[in-house]
Amino acid sequence: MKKLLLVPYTFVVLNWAPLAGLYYFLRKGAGKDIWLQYKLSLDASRERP
Amino acid sequence: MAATAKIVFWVSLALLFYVYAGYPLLLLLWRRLAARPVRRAPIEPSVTVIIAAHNERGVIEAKIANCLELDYPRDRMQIVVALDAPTDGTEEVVWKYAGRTIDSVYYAPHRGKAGALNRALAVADGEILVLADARQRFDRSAVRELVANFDDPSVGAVSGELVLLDEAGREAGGGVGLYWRYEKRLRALESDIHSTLGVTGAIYAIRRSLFRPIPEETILDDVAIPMATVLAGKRVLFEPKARAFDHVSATPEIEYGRKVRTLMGNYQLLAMMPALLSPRSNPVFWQFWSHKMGRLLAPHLLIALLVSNLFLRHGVYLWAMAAQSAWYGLAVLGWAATRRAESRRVQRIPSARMPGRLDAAGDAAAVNHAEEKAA
Repeated sequence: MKKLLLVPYTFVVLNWAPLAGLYYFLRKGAGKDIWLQYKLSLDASRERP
Repeated sequence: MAATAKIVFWVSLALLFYVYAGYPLLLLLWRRLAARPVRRAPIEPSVTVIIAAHNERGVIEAKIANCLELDYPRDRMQIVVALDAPTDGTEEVVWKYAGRTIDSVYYAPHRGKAGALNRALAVADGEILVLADARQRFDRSAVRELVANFDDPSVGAVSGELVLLDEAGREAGGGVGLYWRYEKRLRALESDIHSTLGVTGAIYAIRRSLFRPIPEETILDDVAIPMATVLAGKRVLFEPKARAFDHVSATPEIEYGRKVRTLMGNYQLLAMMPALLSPRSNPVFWQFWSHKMGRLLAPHLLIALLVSNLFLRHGVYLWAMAAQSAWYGLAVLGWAATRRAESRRVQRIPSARMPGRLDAAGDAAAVNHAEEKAA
């Protein structure tokens, strides 16, 4: 019975996570300059033989 | 108002159905019509196993022992432990083995897993890099099973399967276990068609020639690295025969914390690699939108479904409201049942055996139990 109840609970909790993830992403600025950093690291690795 | 509510209701419902049921059904059909077979062979290229470790004193020795027991020629396998500024003495354990059996890279200050992987690359000399975490234990044939797929030149990276075990050493069931099995099934289907969209951070392999350093702030190295591989024109496979075992406190709350971090990482990934959103540069564009973007949209769709339903109270909408109320009611009961079970367990279990404080010996025993059962 408990296992059966865990299915809707898990579904609801895990579906709430994208909203929390977006909140933390915007609040912590995890996207700031990340594209530029990635591009620079790619360029650097291409320059290396 | 009612007309708008109807449109919102049906569009939300249709998209939710597609994300959770339609997309897996589409993958099943897609695989039947256009599966891409992989050429596997028992090859033995040189391999470097990289273990990223921060504070892992309790498990690192077991992990090294586990790597030394792997079914792969020792002279074809290098083991590198990337010590990410540990403060609990992990480095003292690792240095006991240094030079004799493993190489280590130590650096400070603490930079995170992405930084650890970038630094380990400097000493890695294998053609294939096998990336691992310190906690999870590999199946004996795991590396061999991963590597067999690299006989196919179109393959750039291969993910293993992470088997989640409960405290009794059995594969985890319940809500989280069910969710994880559903995810693994999706990965397998995506892999059969072209590429899986993420790999298991605890066990995956990549050709060294394709590994590009990633920014140290990267949250999801296990999505960023395979997606870069896909953008480079190679396939990323899921290999269920290459297994690693981990213990999970399979409660939705713990999974929620992990999931928040994962989804935060997905937003970061979009900022880092906007090319993933374009059908011209991403060969798995449709899968990416359906799987990754669909999951990011799902909570908004659920809210839209509920709110629009509040304005529609007749006929089929009444049944829909009843179904939604029942679903969320059951979720509340599930939450209450989890809380009650958790408080009982806290009263029953001595502190030394609390989840999260399992010692290495306990872990190893439970994993062995699971391996015996699997065999």
